[in-house]
Order: sequence, then structure tokens, then C-alpha cells
Amino acid sequence: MQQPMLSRRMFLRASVMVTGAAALAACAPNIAPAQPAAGPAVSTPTVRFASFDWFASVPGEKWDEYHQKEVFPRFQEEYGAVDLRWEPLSFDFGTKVLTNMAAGTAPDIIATWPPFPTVWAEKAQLLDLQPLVDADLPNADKLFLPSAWAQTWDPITEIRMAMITDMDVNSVYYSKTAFEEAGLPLPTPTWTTDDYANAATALTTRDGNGNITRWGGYLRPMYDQGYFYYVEAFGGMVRDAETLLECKLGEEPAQQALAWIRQNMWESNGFAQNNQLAATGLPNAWGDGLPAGVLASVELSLNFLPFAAALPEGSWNVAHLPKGPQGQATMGAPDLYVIYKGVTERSNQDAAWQFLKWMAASEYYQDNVATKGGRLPGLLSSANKWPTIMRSLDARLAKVDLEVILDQLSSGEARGPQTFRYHAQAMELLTPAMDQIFVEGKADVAIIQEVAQQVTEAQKATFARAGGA
Amino acid sequence: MITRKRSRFNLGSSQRRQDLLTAYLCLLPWLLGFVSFTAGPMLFSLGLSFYEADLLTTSYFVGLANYRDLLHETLFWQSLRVTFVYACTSVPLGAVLALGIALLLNQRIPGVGLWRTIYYLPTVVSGVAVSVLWLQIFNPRAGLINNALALLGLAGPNWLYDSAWALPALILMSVWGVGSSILLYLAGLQTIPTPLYEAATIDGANGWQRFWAVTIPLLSPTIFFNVTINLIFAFQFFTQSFVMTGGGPNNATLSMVLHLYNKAFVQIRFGYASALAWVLFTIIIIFTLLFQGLARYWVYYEGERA
Repeated sequence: MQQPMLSRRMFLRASVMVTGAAALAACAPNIAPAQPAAGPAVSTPTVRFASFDWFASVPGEKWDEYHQKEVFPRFQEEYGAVDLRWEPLSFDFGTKVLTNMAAGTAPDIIATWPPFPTVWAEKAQLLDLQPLVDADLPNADKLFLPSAWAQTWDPITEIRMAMITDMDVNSVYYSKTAFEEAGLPLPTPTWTTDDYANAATALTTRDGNGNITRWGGYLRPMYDQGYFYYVEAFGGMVRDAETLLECKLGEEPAQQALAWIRQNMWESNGFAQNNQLAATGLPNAWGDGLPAGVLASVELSLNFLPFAAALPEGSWNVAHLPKGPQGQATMGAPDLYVIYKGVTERSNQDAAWQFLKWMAASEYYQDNVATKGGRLPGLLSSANKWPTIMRSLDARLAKVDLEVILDQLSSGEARGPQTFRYHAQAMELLTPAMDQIFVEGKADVAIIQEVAQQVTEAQKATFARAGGA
Repeated sequence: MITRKRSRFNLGSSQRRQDLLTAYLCLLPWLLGFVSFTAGPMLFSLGLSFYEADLLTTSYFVGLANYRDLLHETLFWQSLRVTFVYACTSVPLGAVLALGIALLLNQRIPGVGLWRTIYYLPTVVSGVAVSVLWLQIFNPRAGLINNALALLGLAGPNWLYDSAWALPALILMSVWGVGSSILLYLAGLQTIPTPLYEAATIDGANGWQRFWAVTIPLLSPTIFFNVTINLIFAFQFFTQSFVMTGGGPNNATLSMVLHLYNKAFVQIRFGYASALAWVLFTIIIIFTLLFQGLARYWVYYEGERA
């Protein structure tokens, strides 16, 4: 029996029809599902929530699963029908979110950290949360960690940019064993930069060929999150406090601080250079250097659970960053949730704010920032419970001074980074110069004096281009 | 002859019209994609290059100011220098190496299929994965290269942590991806008629002479194609410097595309970044045309008059 053949004409017609139908379907507006015939039409607001999976540092916990299986149902149970949708963010979320914002398709609530919120605020992409905070959280100033809360306010655009997820604090993690073996006193809350440098030199060990087998210390490697805090400890400024446009790194106190770092990195070599640590071959040398024994101390933020698992109990502890000639300073920067301004047009602002407010100000969620994430909650009442929660997660932390972190915050030592008004542009000029000094050791810190002038000029030019006076 | 030409362009017949319609309908999806995702954005970026634009707030027409500014920007010239050095060294290096390996793989050796697969395999690995792998290879202390040099009693450099060695390291790494060029050279080598070699041998030519007088001329269209394509890709190198060095140290590996990316997505200056993109596009076009122009002096197409 002869089968009917598909002629070329028929094939072409069918192709055109299918393509046309697909194009029409793609161009058609979203049609809401038909409401049930009986009862009033009730639309459920949708809130798109974008976050990272790796916020959870508690073994076995997954931030995305925890939200979708526990947080979303719990909120819906308390506040009624809201369609909450999880959207994953990668480490390089800035590019994706920026592109989304340009297209008007950014998620409603976005997890982020400084300096992204200030950049987005300047570009008028964020919902000003201050009126909502005033209405719903009138005592907000007393609810949250003060230094974290202060960083949610943008002095340039004068808006409340964000609510706090958790707080990152940079501290010195050290091997007690190494200090004791070297006969050194353990770091105290007021130990000085001289004490630190001397200890780092004494703790640095070499093999028979003179090759270093262990460095005494390692500074937080990002210049603006690590090195620049020493500028403050030496009494200097990274940029002016008023306009955020003038680079102050060429001035004397800043130069002294940078010279102190360079000396300890390239002359005494008590502090490991970035290339030296990378050359150890450890996959994550910054975090793994202390457990691997190639570092006797290291500056990094909240890393208690991994160290508790990797280091013998009682063999390590945490300390304040040392006191410089003019005080103590370290990075205390919050992770944040912001609301994209598009919610006003999407008519889901109330639902987005309700959910965000609940995450930032409810003890259930904020306690779980510690319980599920191992992180320091932004809500003051939960933050105070943080050492207890951490020790309940891992009993080996009983001998670790977790309270140091809270001390760093209450003393004002932990503070936000001194970012420039156009920070990325400033770092574009500063990073290569800092690389020459600290990564390659080929240049003296004095080169920063000229670069600082260039930074100021570039900041002012950008300000003028943006319509500034 | 005239009749044949007429019939070739005669659109009168119904069959001819149907054939053309079929051809255009088949081309339509590609054409739509090209207009929507290539030509359209290109024109948009051309327009954008005359604006101070962040795509988020109001844009201002600035005429040629972005082009003028980039000519005065130190980093633009640095990125241009890096890109030129990379392109002008990695492309010849890759071409010579690929041709050499292709010549070896063209021999009658046992397990030739396996060798060909092995040499092509790195090409299918993603750029990011390759970059991560080479980060380990270039590790100054634990890396493969410096350990090999140490066996010879040589102290290896700091590679990616030294501004003098970072770009050479990326150039060295570029040879990792010669697999696709090898494949093309191999295909080209296999189209060279054997009688030509036999004739050359009878005329007394040795291996080297056969290579220069027979292989290279007959392979020249393949070499031309390979080098042109690789030159275009080399001018756009990005992944290695983005993943491995971030353009550092001291901007030693700041390629033009990385500089463009930083301007667009880090500093949110899409107008300026578009101007950079068009300058890069122009450079690539000029080089391609120049190379094409020079081709007439050294590329030999069979059937063409000498």
C-alpha cells in the first residue's frame, strides 16, 4: 500500500504555520489563568528572591533548599498566599543583576554586599526602604547591629538601600600552638602592629636551604577590604569623608601604613606575599593555610566551623586586628538584601517588603542565619545569641573566643570599607600600582602619591560627567 | 555560454521561483537570528558609542567624546599593546606548532587515529576549565612547568604573579587549543596529490625541498584560513585573563575585551565600552583585510593562474 508522501509544498506550508504560531505565541502577552467562577477574584502576588547557595557554611546545610523547603512555607503560613520563587545567584552576580536591571527584569529581592548597593542606588535601581522602615520598624536603629545598619544608608542618594542579612567581620585567626612553641605571648585585645609584626617574624620558619616553610601571618588580600584598614589604624584616610572623591592614600599616615605592610611582606617576609601563598599549591591557600601549617596566623572573616573541623581542638583562637599608632580598624561589612525598584510597576512591593522585613527582623529567620549559615545575624537580638548557637553547632568552639567578633563590632573597630564614590574606577588605577608594590615588590609605596592624584582627577572627571558641579 | 548564463538567472519559471522561495525560507531562521542578535545589537552599540550611557538612567549624546577620551586613556593603549603582543605571537606560534603536529600525524604511524584524538581532545574542554588547569600548571612552586625546570637545575619564574612573565604565560597556554587547527591542516595535507611529491622526488628534491615547493604552496589556502580565523579570535582574547589574572599584575594581561568588559559591567559605562568595541572591531577588520590583501602574494589556489 502506498504511503501518502509529504510534498515540499506541504512541508513549507507547515513550516511557515509552525514558525508563525511560535512567533505569535512568543509575542503574546501573559494571560493570567482564569479565575474560578465562584467567589471574588484574588491574585496571589509573586516575589522573586535571588540569593547565593553558599551563604550556608554549616556542614550539610544548603541555603537554597532551606529557603524553598522551610523559609517560604513558614512565611506563607504566617502571612498568607505569596508565590515566593527562588532564583540562584552565582559569585559573579554583579554582571547578571546589572543586565537584568537594564532590561527591567531584575529579581524583586536580591542578595548582595558592598559596594554593589551604593552603585545600584546611584543608578536609581533600588527601592528606598526608609519610608517602609519608618512605618513598620520605627525602632530600627535599636534593632540591628549599629555598624551594619549604618551601612544600609547611602549618604549620596540619601536612601535606605537595604536590610541586613548578616555581618562579615575580619579578624586574626592564629595557631596557639605556634605562638606557644615560639615562646610568644598570645594576642591580646590591644596588641599593637609592632607586636603583630614581631610575632609574624618570630613565627616564620625556614628549612635547611633557607626556604620559608611557614609564614607568621597573611593579611586579607583584597586591598580595599584588608590593606586599607591599616591606613585607618595609622591615622590616615583612603578618601575624604565628605565627597568621597579625593584619594588620601598619598598622604603621610597612609604612606606609613602601606610602607609598614610592604616592609613586613618584602623585607622581613613575616607576612606571606600573595604569590608565595599561591605557590604552596593549596587549592584555597587563604582559607587552608592555617590548617595546612603554612601560616601561623591569617586575617579572614567568620571561618569558625571550617577551622573547628580542620584544626585540633584548643590549638587555635581568634583575635582583634592589632592596634596601630592611631587606633584599631578592621572590615565589618554586612551582606544585604535589597529590593529592586521595579516592584512599584510590578505591583508586588507590599509582598516583597513584607518578606524582606520578615527575613531581616524576625528572630526565626535571623537565628537561622547562624544555625543554617554559621553567620553572624544582623538582628541584634539574634547576634547576641550567635556565640551560643555556634557552640551548639560545634562543641569544639567552646575554647574559641567567639565574643571577640562582638567586641570588634561594639568597639567600633569593625567598620565599613572606605569606598570611593566611583569605587571601581578608583580601584582600576590603584590595583595595578598596589600590585607593583605588594604582589611584585618592584615599586616603593611612594608611587601611590602620584596615583592618588590620578584617582582624584578621575573621580572628579566622572562626577562632572555625571552632571555634578 | 550566454544561454547558460541566462538560464542561470532566469527567474521566470515557476520551478525557479519555488526554489528561490525554498532557499529564502531556509535562510530565514538564520537571517532572523542574525538581524536580532548580531546586526541589531551591533548597530545599537554603534549608536550607543556616541552617548554617555549606563543603560539604567538618562543617556546623553556626547558625539565623538568617547572615542576622543579613549585615545587619551593610558589603559586603552596598554590593553591595545597587550592584545597586539598576544595576537602577533600566539597566532604564528600556534600555526607553526599545529602545522608541525599535523605533518607528524599525516605519517603512516601505528595508532594514528588515537594520536589525532589525543591532540584534538583539549579543544573540546571549556575555556574556563582550561584556565583553571593552567593556573595549577603555572604555580610557581607546585606547578608542572617550574618543577620540570627545577629538574634541569633552572629556577622558574613567578609566571602569573610577575608582570614580565604573565603575558608570555598566557601566550604559552594558547598553544593548548591548536587541536582544531591541526585538524584543518591535516585535511589540507590529505588533499595534496601524491603524484606531485613523486614528481618532485624524481626531479631530485629532498624532503625539505618537497615541503617548501609542494606542501606549503598547496597548503597555503588552509594556512591562510587558519591564521585569519585565529587572528580574529586572538584579538578577542578574554577568558584566560579574566579567569587567571584579572588583567594583572599591573595590567600586564589586560586585553582589550577585558578592558571593555570592565568599562561596561564593572564601571557601568556602556557608551564608552561600545566605543572600545567599535575600535576593536575596526582593528580586526583592518587586519583581516590587510591579511587578505597580502594573500595574493603567497596563497596559491589550484586552478588559478600563477
